[in-house]
Amino acid sequence: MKNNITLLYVDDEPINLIVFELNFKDKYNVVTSESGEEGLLKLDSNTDIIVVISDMKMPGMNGIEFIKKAKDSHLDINYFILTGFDITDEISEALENNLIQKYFRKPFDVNEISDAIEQAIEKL
Amino acid sequence: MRSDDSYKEIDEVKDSIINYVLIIGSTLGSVAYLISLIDLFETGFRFNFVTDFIAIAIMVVTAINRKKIKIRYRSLVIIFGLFLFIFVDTYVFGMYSSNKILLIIVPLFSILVYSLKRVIIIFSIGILGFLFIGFLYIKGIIVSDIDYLSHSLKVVPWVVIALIIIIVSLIIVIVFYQFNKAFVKLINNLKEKNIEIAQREKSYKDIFDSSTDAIFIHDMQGNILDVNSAMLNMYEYDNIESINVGDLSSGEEIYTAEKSWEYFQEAIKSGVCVFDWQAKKKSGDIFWVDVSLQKTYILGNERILAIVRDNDEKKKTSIQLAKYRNRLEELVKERTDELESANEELTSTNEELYGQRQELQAALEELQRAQRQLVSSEKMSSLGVLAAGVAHEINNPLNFIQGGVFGLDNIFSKNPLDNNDEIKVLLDAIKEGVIRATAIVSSLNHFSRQDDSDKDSCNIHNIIDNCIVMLGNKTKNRIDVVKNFTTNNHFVIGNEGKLHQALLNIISNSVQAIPDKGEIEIQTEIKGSDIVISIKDSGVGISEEDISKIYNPFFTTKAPGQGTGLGLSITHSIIEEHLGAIEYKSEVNVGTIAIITLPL
Repeated sequence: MKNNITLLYVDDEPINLIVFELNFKDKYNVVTSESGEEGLLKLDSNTDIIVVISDMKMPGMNGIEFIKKAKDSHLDINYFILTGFDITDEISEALENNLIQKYFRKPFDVNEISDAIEQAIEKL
Repeated sequence: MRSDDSYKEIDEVKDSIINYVLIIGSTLGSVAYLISLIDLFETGFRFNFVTDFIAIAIMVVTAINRKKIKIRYRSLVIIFGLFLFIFVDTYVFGMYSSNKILLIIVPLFSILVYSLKRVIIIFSIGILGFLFIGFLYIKGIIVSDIDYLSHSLKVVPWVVIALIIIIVSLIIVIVFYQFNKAFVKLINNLKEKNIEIAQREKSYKDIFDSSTDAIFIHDMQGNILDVNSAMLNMYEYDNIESINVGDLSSGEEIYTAEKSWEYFQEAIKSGVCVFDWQAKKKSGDIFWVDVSLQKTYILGNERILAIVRDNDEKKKTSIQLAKYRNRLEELVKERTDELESANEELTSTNEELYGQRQELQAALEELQRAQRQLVSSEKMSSLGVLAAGVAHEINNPLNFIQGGVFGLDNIFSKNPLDNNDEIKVLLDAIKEGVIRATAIVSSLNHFSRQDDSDKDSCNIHNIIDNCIVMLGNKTKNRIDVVKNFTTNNHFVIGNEGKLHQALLNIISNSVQAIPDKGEIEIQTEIKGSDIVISIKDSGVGISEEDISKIYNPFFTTKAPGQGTGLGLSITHSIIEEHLGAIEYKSEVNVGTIAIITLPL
């Protein structure tokens, strides 16, 4: 089943990181970070990463800010937001500018996320 | 000699005359006596030499002491001297006495100091004494030894007689001269005084005439004796003769000649009388005067002096002023009346204003209520923000649970246990809990959407579902919510948050209209290019009276604090913003139906 996709999930809640990793470890190589700053370091050190899913509200930089920085040096990666909030103006703008592929609502739906990743990978 | 100026009194003239006579008489008498002494050697001693000497001596002594002796005594001395001369000489010489001529000057002296009666007595004594001596001669009692013929041939007697004549003449001259001088002086004085008096009288007349007040001099019978020129000018008469007292009063009202006579009597009685009068000129013109009547004495006669002052202008002015005053009083009264009526108007206006004030107060209370409601709607929007925050915070734990359940489900499906069925039931229960919690949080998110976008594509059925979920705790076990939706979803272009709010308000009203148990039926249907949403409840209904007011802001039938009265108003404006329409139909105690039409 594992299709050798490496995915970075960024969320400031460690429980979220654990639950996400446990749910997706069979499908993808899951790398996690507790902050945007750490995520950027992981991206630089791990060039296999082709999908990034980030929480929106985090201490320091938020999800969109992190993705903007990440995209500066990693243009080919597919970026997603997984947020507990309803859609915001910032997210709408990111969608319009194709900064992100899609945004997901918490609690996450494993299938919804998998489908979105599959679609994104196919386009590559 | 004393100066003429010292003649002040006739007594001084007399005094002067006596003194001159004493001096001249004693001097010339002495001379005459000394001459007569020559006769002594020829005729021999006669006793008249002794008596003459005594008389001369007394006169000389008196003359020397004239200033110390009173005039009447000096006069008496002269008279006594004269009598002594006359009687002794007559006794000696009889009818040929040279001194008998001195009798003439006896009354001349006595008249200076004595009354006529006394003068006659003194003079009678002199004459009777002379006649008595003559009687003694005639009877032969006295026999003269003098040879009258030879005596008359002698020089001395002639000289003595001449001297005596001179004395008498001189005395007469002196008396006349002195009196004449005094008279002339007195007459001149009188003339001067007359001139002075005349001038003074003229001055008085001038003053009398120069007065601007008219002055009348009346006798006690009221006749006019004199008037000044001011009177003639004032009353326009040419002369006093043409004045008739009766014509000087106007004769109008109380200003009659009879009345003026009463004032005249009053002035006679009490000495003075002052009054205002309406006078009449010769021409008949009437004018106002001040009159002052005063009883006075003029040249010893009782007179009434009338002083009349022209007071026409003042009086007319004061009459005019009185008129003005009356007019002013009337005006003040009018104005007072006007003010009173204005005041009444003001009072009624005030009452109106009071009414308006009460209306304003009511409006103010309404505004205050509105303010409270706006504050509460502000709270609502704050609640929206809070809800969004809470939603996010709840979403994370929901994410843990969801992720956990997915993970466990995955594990159990790969490694089934003995009691796998029970585990599946339990996991499903957890999933159902997560789904419901997620729905509630999601609806909160919907309600709190504050973006101004009005171009969202809004799923009406979803919105209605959300509303029903939100009101779930109020309908549970009490109200059946029946949905009769069309099979397809329909999308209205607009603001989802606002549409959500509008529908929530309508459904919420339906929920609140049902006091106990009941039913709400929500139906959607397509009519042409519109979607029609009917929300029907079995509530208490709305009275016919109230149904026209339900869209009015702040209209509410709910208890204070229970409803803002803004709900349907906002709903109405939201539906209109979306180019739709809303209609309410109701029957009391049966129910209400709200029909919302929105363009697709």
